[in-house]
Order: sequence, then C-alpha cells, then structure tokens
Amino acid sequence: MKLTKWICLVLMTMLVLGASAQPLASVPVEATKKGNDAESPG
Amino acid sequence: MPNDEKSDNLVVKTHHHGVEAGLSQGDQAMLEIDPEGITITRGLANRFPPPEAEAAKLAMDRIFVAHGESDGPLIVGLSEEFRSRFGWHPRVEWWRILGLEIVNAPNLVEAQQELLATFEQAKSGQPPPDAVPTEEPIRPETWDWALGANALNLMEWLWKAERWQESLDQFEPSLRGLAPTDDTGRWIERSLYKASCEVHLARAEDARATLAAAFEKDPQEFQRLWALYRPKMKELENLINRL
Repeated sequence: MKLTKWICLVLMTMLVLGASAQPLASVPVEATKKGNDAESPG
Repeated sequence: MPNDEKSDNLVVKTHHHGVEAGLSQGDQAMLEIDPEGITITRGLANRFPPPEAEAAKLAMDRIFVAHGESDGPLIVGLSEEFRSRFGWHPRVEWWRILGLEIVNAPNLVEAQQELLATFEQAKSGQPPPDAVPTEEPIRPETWDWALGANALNLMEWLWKAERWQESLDQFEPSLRGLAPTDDTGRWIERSLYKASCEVHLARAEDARATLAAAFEKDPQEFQRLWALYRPKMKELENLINRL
C-alpha cells in the first residue's frame, strides 16, 4: 500500500513538472499564430 | 473536388488545415523581426492549375511544405530553383514573394509590384515566355482573384513601411476577385488597413466612415477580426469604440 502511494506521488510530481515545461509558455497567444498575414495561394 | 471549388480558409498558423499549431523555426524568425506579432494568415485554396510535368509538381509540393513552415530562405531558394529548372508558374512566384517577406528582403515592395504587373500581362494573354505548361488554361477570374489578393499583400507591405498614401491606393485593386457575399471577412480586413492609413494621413472622418461601413457589413465578423488586428492598429481604437 505504501509503495503504491509512493509511486502515485512520483507520477504526480512528474506530471506537474512536465506540464510546467511548455517551451512556448511565455509567448502570447497572438504571437504563436503565424507572423505573416498575407494571402497565400494555398 | 475541382481546385476552383475548394473553400478558402481564414486561419492561424497552419492555414492549410485551419487549426493552430506550434511555432516553427521560421515563425520564430519572423517574431524576431516583428515581436508585436502579426497574427493571421488567409490561406487561399489553390486555384491555379498545376504543371503538367510530374517533376515540376513534386518541386511545387516542396515549396508548399516550406511555406507551411514559414521557412523564408527555403521558400525563396526552392522557388528560384523551380523557375530555373521548369520556368515561370504564378503560384510559385506568389510564394517567392511571401518568402521575401519572411526574410525581410529590402526589395519586397518592388518584387510584389513586378509580380502584379506580370499577372496583368498574363491575364491579357502575354504570360512570360518561359511560363510552365499547366494541366488546364488559367481562367480570367483566377487572374482577378490573384490580382486582388496580391494587391492586398502590396497594401500590407506598404502599410508596414508606413507609406500610407501608397498603401491606401491599393484598397480598390485589392477588392478584385472578391465574391459579393462570401468574402465579407476579406472586405473588412482590407477596410481596417484602409482606415489605418486614413488616420495616419490625418483623415479621421474618412477613417470613421470606412470603419462604420465595415462594421455594418457584419458586426460579429468585424469584432472577431478587430480582436486580431487590434494589437497592431491601436490608432483605430478610439474610433472603433465609438461605433
């Protein structure tokens, strides 16, 4: 039982760390859109 | 579905699929040039007939992929290679100009003006002598659509260069080829650029009228587009708040 709790804790920690490691987190939403507002032929 | 029946997409980033995606290296490079971020791209479904030769078709596909990645140097390089190997094709030349924008080329405006002049000549039956044979003839309405879209691009390059009157002069040409009912968003976008130029030219009353007409066309679509353009057109904020 204790081992199961320990595994859960490790997994939860990994999940939290993984979620905070977004490489583009500091880029505004608008800026993640393509920087070219031209019309393009496909 | 025939090429001319494909619907156009308004979109962000991956305009080919109408969904958002992460930043490519090319997008990062563009953000370094313009950190404020210009936010939208209208991907027009390809209405130009593809070349007859299979090798030329494949070469065109490579440019399409580079364009999706916003890889400016690659787009320009592949486009120039295409022309030297196969000849002139309007879709490839159009991409080459967009590549020039991405690499911030100093001759962007001149290159765009040259392309427009070449499209006009092609429409009147005088394409460049090395034009690539296509699977079917290019129709006059396709040329009109391409001329309108490229006039809008020129309007944008001039706007970015703060050449307000010249940019404004492209408004009417940019309407060429638009559908009377299905292109409301495009009409509104062009109107935003027009109004911005008018404000910069100290013609606030004209700008107000331009914005009011655009708003009346479709208030919901206007608000949606304004939310995208607002960061780069702060000069319109007061006028739009009073609409």
